[in-house]
Amino acid sequence: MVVMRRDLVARAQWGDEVAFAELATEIADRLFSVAYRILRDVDAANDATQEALVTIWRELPALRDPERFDAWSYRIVVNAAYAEHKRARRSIPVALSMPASLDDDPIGALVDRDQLERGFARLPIEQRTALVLQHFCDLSLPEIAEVMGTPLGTIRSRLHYARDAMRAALEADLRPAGAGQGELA
Amino acid sequence: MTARLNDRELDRVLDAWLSEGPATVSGAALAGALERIPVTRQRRLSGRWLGPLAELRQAERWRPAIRVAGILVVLAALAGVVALAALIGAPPGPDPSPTPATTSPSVDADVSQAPSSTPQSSPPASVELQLDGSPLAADQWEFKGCPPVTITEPDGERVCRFTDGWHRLEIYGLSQPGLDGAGIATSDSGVRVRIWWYRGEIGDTLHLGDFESTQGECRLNLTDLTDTLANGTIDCTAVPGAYSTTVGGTEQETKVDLRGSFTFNPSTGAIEGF
Repeated sequence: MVVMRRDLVARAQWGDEVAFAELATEIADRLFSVAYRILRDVDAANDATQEALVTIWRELPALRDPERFDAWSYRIVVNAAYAEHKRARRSIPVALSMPASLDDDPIGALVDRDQLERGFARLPIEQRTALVLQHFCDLSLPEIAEVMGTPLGTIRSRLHYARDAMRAALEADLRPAGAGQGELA
Repeated sequence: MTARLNDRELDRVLDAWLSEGPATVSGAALAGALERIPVTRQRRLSGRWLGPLAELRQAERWRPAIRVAGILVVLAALAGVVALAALIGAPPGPDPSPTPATTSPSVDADVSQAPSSTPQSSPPASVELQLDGSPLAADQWEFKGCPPVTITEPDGERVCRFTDGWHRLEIYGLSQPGLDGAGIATSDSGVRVRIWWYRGEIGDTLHLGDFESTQGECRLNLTDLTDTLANGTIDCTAVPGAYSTTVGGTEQETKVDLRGSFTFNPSTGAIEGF
């Protein structure tokens, strides 16, 4: 699979549209998943994915090392998500995703999804991105720094604040009625 | 339910929550992207160019009037194809040294079946690339990547093994306004040579964002150019429309002197020089 991917990347780098179509089909869902989790909006994520794919095609010849295609494509879709977020400034609806089954629900046992969505929506997009790359893409901190084009220290800081904010949002929901909830302003 | 989430619980919640949600791009979005590919030109600008281009752009002397006079050129050549040997009708090469037992080295050969990586015993071929009839200095071009053939360069020899797909040969003339490059590739359908060039008015319009609108390319399928191959020359002028390019929104004819010669060594499957 790795060899096949590398071959597709190499062929697409040299203008092979058929190879790129195959490559795009292979990676589109992954790009969309990342974009959706950053933007929390299906339409915006689809738009970002489309832009990312076209950008990947256009910029692919500049990719020096096909082995780094995955990280490179993450970077492009993150940038596309940023652009989409900035361009549209649409009011992103809070998507309340319900688990298929309420049994064995690791989230519901602890917190309310609505609180998660709201807490996440309040984060700056850079912090959201760092969280997504860490918890959804399973990237290491150096990898996140590379994808985001940001110093490692900045990534640590963003994740620290993002986690604190998410924790605060969730704990607000856990507090007894009447407790203050103003920390995240 | 506790009043405070510890780090592990928070990690678990975030992992689980972020794993939820849609994970499939819409067919329309994917189709829309694919529809845009044929009309979206790839950027053919290597990082190597970024510095020189920035300098060029700032240089007063690079005005539209002087700009790109010509372009590029290159040449590429190809690999051990038995069919090619047959077309050329070449007898066994002068080097009778043991070669892979395969009598017909495939262009799609596995690395283990690649032409010998032993340096060629023949003297370095004279390689000359021309831009508008004038030779490019040795420091104005180089081969990049790993062509699937043995390439003899003016400053030495590099031996690369067969791999599939396009292989990059870049030629650049830092003092020239034209950018250029070439690639050679092997595939099941034969051997291809692809030459591209960039042309721009090195003034207002020449910046990275506009580059894709000021480039052109010429793709050759060598199986259609047997006569040319037999003469050891690839001439892109044989490709109709190869020189049509758009500069500043105006389509222009671009004169490209694109020719060169090579020597094919059927005993090693190597192509030496241009």
